[in-house]
Amino acid sequence: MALTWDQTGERLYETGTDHGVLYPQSADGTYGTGVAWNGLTKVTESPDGAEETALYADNSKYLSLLSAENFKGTIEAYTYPDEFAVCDGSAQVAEGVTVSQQPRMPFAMSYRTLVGNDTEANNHGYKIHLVWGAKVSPSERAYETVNDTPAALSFSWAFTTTPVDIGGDFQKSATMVIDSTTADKTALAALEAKLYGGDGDAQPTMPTPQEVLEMFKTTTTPAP
Amino acid sequence: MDDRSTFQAYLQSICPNVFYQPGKNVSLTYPCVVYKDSQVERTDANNHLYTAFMGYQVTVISRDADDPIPKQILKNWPNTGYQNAFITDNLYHTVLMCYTIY
Repeated sequence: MALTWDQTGERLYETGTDHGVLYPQSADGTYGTGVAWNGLTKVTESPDGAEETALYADNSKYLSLLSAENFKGTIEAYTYPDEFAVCDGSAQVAEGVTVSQQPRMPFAMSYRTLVGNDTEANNHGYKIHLVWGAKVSPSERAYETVNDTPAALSFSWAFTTTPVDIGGDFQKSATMVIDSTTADKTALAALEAKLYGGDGDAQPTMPTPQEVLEMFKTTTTPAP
Repeated sequence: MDDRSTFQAYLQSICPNVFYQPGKNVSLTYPCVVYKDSQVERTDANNHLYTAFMGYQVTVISRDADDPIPKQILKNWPNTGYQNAFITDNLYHTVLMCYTIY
């Protein structure tokens, strides 16, 4: 059968970001209750690493070794949850009084990006991005006078991550992506109930990578 | 930033005749402030509208070439910009752009 390109319903694209949730890490290393990140405008993933070291022998390229990968990026938003303050090196010394340059608490976060196509537009599906072991570094805040055009200060934080155990035969990783267009619907619903909280007393919590893999067990296959 | 009703009240505090998007049959008395919806400045987050500001084109019309009303608005209402001025039928028009929360 001959290949075809750009068939109806197959013109996929990705756009947008929403449903940002912050899960600050507690002193015991577990992630606390998730809080909604209002005003989230952009999450930029900028992984690096995997740089090649070429080895030569017998007058030709013999082997190519790749360095470890590092998942990092930036978060941009018009505001941030109060719980993020400890992740950004702030500590509350009294009600309404905070000091900066304090230890930075690691955190996990999740956010959603949309998957669109030519028939359903942005309603085709979405991807849930999970990030563990993140830390942000200090960032600039350019407070500017009110002038003749209304504007809101946009915050930006650069984050780096420390990979965590995934389990199974997988290498450590700091991020995982669940695609609603292909993932098991029941498992996805269970994951979302955990991430965003559910009816009654169910609090939003960040599952461990092993818990996520357990939810989607039937479809997880290690990379070759 | 305040809403339109606050803006209306502010304008009425400095000028007795304030008209918001007046119809053609409305007769103006001078000095007056005439303003209308002009543009919406929006910020988006989480894939939807996060905040929006309504920009109004505000025209101060006066028989006095040195009427203080335009300057008062510029000095006292945040997010106000000067656009232009012109004379028609011996009436001095000063056009400003003012914003409120939408």
